[in-house]
Amino acid sequence: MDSSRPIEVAVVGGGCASIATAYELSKPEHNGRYHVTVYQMGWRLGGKAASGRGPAQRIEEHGLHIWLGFYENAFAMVRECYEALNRDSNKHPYSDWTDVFFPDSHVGVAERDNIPTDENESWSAWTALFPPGEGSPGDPLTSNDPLTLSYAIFRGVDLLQTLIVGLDRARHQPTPPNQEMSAASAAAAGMLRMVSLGVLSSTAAVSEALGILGVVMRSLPSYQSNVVLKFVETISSSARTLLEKTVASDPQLARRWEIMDLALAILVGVVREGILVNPKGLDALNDYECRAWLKENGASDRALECGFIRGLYDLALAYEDGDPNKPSLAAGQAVRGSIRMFFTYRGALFWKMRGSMGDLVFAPLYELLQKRGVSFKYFHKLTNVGMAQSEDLLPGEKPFVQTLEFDVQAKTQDGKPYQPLIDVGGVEAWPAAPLFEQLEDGQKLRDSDWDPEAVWDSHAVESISLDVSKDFDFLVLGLSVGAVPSVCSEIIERDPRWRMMVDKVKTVATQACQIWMKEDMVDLGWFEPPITLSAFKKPFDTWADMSYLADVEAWPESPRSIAYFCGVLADPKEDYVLDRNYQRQREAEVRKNARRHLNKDIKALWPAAATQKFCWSMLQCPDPEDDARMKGKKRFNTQYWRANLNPTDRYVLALPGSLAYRISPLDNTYDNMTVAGDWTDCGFNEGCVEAAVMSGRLAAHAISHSPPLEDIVGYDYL
Amino acid sequence: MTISETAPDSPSKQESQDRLHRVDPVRSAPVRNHVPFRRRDNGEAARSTDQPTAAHQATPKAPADAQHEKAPQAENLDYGIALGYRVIDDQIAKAKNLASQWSRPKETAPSSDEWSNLANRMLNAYRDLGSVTIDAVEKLVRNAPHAAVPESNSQTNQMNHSSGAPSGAAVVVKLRTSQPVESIVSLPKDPGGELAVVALHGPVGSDPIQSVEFVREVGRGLTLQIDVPNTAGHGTYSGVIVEAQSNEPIGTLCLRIGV
Repeated sequence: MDSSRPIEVAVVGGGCASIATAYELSKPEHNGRYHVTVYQMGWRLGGKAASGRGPAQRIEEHGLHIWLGFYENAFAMVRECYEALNRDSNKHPYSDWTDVFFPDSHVGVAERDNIPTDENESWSAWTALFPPGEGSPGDPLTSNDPLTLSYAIFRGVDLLQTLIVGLDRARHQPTPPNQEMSAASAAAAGMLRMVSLGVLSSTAAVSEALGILGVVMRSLPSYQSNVVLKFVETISSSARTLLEKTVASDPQLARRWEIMDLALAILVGVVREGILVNPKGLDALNDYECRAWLKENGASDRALECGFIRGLYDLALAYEDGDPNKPSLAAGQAVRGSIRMFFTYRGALFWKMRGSMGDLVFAPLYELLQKRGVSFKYFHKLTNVGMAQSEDLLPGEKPFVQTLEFDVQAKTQDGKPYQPLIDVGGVEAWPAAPLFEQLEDGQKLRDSDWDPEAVWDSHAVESISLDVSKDFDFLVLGLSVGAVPSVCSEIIERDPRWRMMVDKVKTVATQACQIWMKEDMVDLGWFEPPITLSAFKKPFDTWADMSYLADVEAWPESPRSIAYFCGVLADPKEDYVLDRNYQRQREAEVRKNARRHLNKDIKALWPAAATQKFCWSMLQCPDPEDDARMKGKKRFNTQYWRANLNPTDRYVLALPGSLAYRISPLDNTYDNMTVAGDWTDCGFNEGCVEAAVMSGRLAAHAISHSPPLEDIVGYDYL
Repeated sequence: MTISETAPDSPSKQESQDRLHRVDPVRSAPVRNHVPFRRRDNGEAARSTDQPTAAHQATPKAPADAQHEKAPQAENLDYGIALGYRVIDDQIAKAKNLASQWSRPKETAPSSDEWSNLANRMLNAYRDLGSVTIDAVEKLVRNAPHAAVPESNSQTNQMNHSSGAPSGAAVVVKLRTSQPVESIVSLPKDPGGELAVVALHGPVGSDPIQSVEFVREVGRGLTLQIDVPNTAGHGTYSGVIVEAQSNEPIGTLCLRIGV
């Protein structure tokens, strides 16, 4: 080979992981050693996080994208990207990452107050303002890295202490004296007060015990684990015995107790399983289902059904087959996720974007990568990964990818590269549909309701085949796991690991809905600050107040509030064919779900939004004529909803017993191919932006040995 | 160099000769053991000297079997825990007894003296939990010869002046007292702003210690001033440290008078 030419890397897919790989391989420190070409189906980058601008330039997302304060790798990449773009802050509204992200510390979970009936359900929201964490996500880590399990356990013990002293404080709120109290009652009240003092003394003692336990946990290997387990169990038992009954009648205290109960169960379980000295760490728990494991380690049934746990499952969309009756989450990853979420966040627990993820993350990355020389091929749909025949391999030679076959879905009229972005108020944004005016037969495609992102779409203007050594040297397979079976049949046929992987690593369909309203949230009866709330009634169990986005859209009359809802979408029990009809049928189902949600469920959170039925007139239509003309529930048809059914759109699950079947981007079975995506074994095996970026960085490491594995935050140790 | 341009074996196939090969990464799985991972101040990752460099390296030595090689520390722990269990059992029994008396018909309810007596017994039982189980383990932790240096958020402050724990908020404790007093401040983090302790409640019959004040002094940080009355009885006094503005609990303060 000509050593002067750069190494050609084909990255297939344009989601977070693929873009992270391209970002790493195109870094200036490689001195142009790698030339990356990103092959993208359809008209936009982003994968499951792709967004588009619809009518009134409103943002239309696949779902809800909120970044957590522990997304160290993802934040670092975006921060570096904005720094490298060096935008003029006087000319561009988004010149720094702080223009893009803002801390959102107000989170909540919904709790059902009564026994559910079809007609009368009562829910309340338990909201909490999480204190700011030190630093900002993506800051370089200095001194003690907090990402160790022993540190996390220590923080957990701290949390328990805080909650326990909080219980004391709450229980000692002064009560007004009752002048008419009888002598007997006064004696009883005095007795209660004294007993309370006794509990105070005891909880202080338990608090002290937990402080000491923190020290023990920090140096656990120095102690005999069975002895430590006894001690932990002693504390857990005494804390539970002392406190459970005293808090049962007070909802606020009961919620604190539920979290304590769960933390105690985790503590006992971690010690019992010897996780701190197990070379697999928390991964050793991944064959257990989270709730079952917590119960086994002493968590009460009440704690297992509390809003926190339900919220954990909802945020992870952890319902097998999308069935709300089949919650399922691997215990080790659930504990890791909880620890990372609550104990390692920086700045804030949640961070929201002042725009869409497509416009504020993928568009700037696209701009930067282009400047670095990365090529982008839109409308390229991978149809087959062709492997070298076994008989052609040399003795000892690893299998390798020989060809990549694509359908070219469309070509530009002038043969020049497709320009995918539009200008919205001085910001480059992704449209919600292809820019047909650039395409050959664009009008015809527009009229045909063409959807190049749909799995069933077979429109192609030509088929091409890329050959190894000639067109590419290395392949980064950055598609979603759902798409792997259809393009990697040759690998799956010969490789049992891949067969098991596509069989065990399951995904779930999701549904999303966005509404724009003429009333603000206070008018709707929501008096808390803007919130992200989970554990609410299904199917739309998660709601985020996104009202602030009205400023970046272009409505004739600006909406006063915007709400995003999302949740899982159950797969049918019988076999089905994913075609246009099926898609439409499921979209109609989502629309029905959304209308029902607004009509029946949402009033539990927004009591002023409905008396009997949802007040449809408060929905704002993008078209002023529609807004003036449309009446009743038909107005909902102007809002946005979607059913994420495509294999590339489905969310990957972290089911117990499945994570061991994931394949790492570092796996070297195939000589010139690596994988990337939040479905890979990337150190944080749960579907999210951070997992995708970690995976992308690992894929880059597999090719270039950079970045160092030690610099992929969160890959090791926790 | 991470890319190989030669085929691993026979050069008979031109295609393989030309094709680039990946060089295997040093490891293909994360390191998950407990050994603390530290970084240099410039943010560059580094391992401690005894840190394995690959996932397949030897796992940490398992703790010795307690049945065969019981360390003195473990015996102390066992003893403390055994006592703790006894105290808890005793306390549960007393609570059951109390509950049964509360459920009696009015005419057979205990007298107010009996109530006080029961309450005192319960309080003592609760206090024992803290003073036996905890002390045994605390002693073990502080005296363990091979354990890491304790970095508890609690720090014992003797008499007049001491600073807070290295991993928690630094607090200077100023005690005005004529009695031997040990103070334990558990304040994992200083949230800034004004802090308060409403009162320190002690043994039954004793007055709470009210004169407890947090002061922020320029150049000295956070100071906790406590005036222990001469009349304060021996025993353990405890209270909750709160953020004054929000009244949110953020730590605990415990005084042991007469220790």
